[in-house]
Amino acid sequence: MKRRLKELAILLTGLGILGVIVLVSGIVPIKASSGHWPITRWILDFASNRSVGLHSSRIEVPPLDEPGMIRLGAATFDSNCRWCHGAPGFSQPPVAAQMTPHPPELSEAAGSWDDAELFYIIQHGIKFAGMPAWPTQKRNEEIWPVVAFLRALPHLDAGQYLDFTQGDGVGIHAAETPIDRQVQSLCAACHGTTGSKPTNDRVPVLASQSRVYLKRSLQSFRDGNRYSGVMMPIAHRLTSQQIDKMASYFAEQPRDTSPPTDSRDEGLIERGRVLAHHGDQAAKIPSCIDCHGPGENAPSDEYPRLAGQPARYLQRQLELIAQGNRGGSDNASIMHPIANKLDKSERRALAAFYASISGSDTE
Amino acid sequence: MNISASQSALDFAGKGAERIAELFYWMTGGAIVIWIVVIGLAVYAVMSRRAHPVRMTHWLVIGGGAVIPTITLTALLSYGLAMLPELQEPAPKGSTTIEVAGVRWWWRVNYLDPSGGRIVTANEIYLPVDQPVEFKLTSEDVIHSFWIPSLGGKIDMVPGRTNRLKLHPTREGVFHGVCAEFCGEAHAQMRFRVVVTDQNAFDEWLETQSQASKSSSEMAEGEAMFLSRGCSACHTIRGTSADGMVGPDLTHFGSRLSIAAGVLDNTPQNLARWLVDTHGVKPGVEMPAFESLSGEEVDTLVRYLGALQ
Repeated sequence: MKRRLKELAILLTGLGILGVIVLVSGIVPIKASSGHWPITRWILDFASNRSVGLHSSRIEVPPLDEPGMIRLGAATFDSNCRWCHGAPGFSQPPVAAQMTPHPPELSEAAGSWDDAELFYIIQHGIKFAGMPAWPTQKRNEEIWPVVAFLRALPHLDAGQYLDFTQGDGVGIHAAETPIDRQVQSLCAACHGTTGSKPTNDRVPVLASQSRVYLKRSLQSFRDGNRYSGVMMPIAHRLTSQQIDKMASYFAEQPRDTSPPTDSRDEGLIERGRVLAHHGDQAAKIPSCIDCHGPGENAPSDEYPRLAGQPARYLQRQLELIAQGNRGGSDNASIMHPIANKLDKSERRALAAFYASISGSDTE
Repeated sequence: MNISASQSALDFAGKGAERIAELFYWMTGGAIVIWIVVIGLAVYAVMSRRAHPVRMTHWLVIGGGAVIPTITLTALLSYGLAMLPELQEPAPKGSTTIEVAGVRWWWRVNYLDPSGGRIVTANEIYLPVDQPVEFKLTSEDVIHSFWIPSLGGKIDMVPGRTNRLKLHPTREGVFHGVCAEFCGEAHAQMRFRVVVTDQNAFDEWLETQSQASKSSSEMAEGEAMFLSRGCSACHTIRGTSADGMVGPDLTHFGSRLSIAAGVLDNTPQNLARWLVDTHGVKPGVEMPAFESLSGEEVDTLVRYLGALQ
């Protein structure tokens, strides 16, 4: 028995020394050009499948059939994912094709994962596979449209993909000036060509927004101070001059003033109106209109105008601010103590109120 | 901080504080008497080597340990209780009446106008010398305690009820008031200034406070900035459209001695610092810091606020 143990110890020590020699000598090639051995490939795939399956098992999948959701997901995919995975009408770029493992072509590969697994992979990425995590861990709700898009991907042809990513829901417009082209390729799919008709109520209206606020928002996204896996990568591609131009472009666009068609909860809107106009002294909630309009005094251009924004967008922003997950320019800290005091029903009421008035209302 | 202002209960400038100081000195004297007798007897017991008659030792123990302390304490208690009726008595009808509400972490001050109206100010209280004044004290959130050590006793401000306090200043000067009940993060910075003046100066001050702020063309830019930056969501400046009630009324801000509820002297430098480094000056304060204000904007706002005389 004792001799056995001794032999075992010698064997393990020998293996350990061999391992150190292999590591230190650098004899094992780390090169991607040769790909994986089939056995390595199988083990890595098996391990990552098991891990993704286990860790995604508690994720609740929201409805993925909201209007415009696939278009939002397509635009985000086009901005964040296409340069490795390719897309309908865009074959895999040659640089990404030389990665080990290859980024899969997703119209097929996505079918082997369920919705929660796709969400988990997009949110966290996969170690050693070159699949990056979502640009921020503070905005998970942004990932679901991408999941919805991946589900629709097998049925999309190149024309539809182009329409989803470059059109504004109406069609692809002939862009003449450089700023038009930029808006067309970067903004239109989610915000609309004029920024007045977002594709989905998660997305803000940009038309007639304060120019300074738009500029500061883009700068904050670019500098990583405002968090969004959709907007941070887009803003990162922009120069300061482009940000200026883009902010001016949207600030000058007219609002779509057609009345909102969705059902109105008058009681909720009225509650929001009172809170927005008068605040709540007992709860130490200041009024909203002094900074965000509409009121007799024009608020500073530093602050966003909220009239006519989609209720869902506003409510989500208030939640994010209260959680400390929104970020923003220097001005965002002003909102933190205020958003902290709003409960869920107050956030809903305020969002409903601001969504119910059009951007041109002054009251 | 204005160190010339007094915050000592022994440096009294009001009838209540004077009685409290008297009581303090008598108590100290009483404590000294008890201490000398008890310790003296203890030392005597240790040092003495001769035998004592049993009767005498009983008397020493009972007399020194029970009788003398009881007599001294009873005397002090009677003396202290005898002060209460006078201190508790409401100020005579027609006295100046001031409502003060504790709000984390500042003071909402309303002078009741004889005609029934309220003259609103904050974080600073003017009092006429040699006149009794009636305070009505409430709280808008948690329990605070209202204390001007140089003028009188302290009393809790309890949400949902009104406590009253009479103060009767006897000497002119500037005094500190404080919150004397721990009320949260910025409790130690929940202070105010009390200015005791002669009746004429007081009347003049109150008359000024009752009016809206005067505006001039030089103030227009600052006023526009105050409104557009949203300061008006929390602050009222009578005479403008600023009507917020969440924070202190700033109508005559420029005339006040201190800012941030008695934390800093009201100087342009301090105010500029307060606007952008609000939480550095007073951690926990509800007012957000306006970090994005440019130097020029800060100057404009500081000039405007200083002009609110």
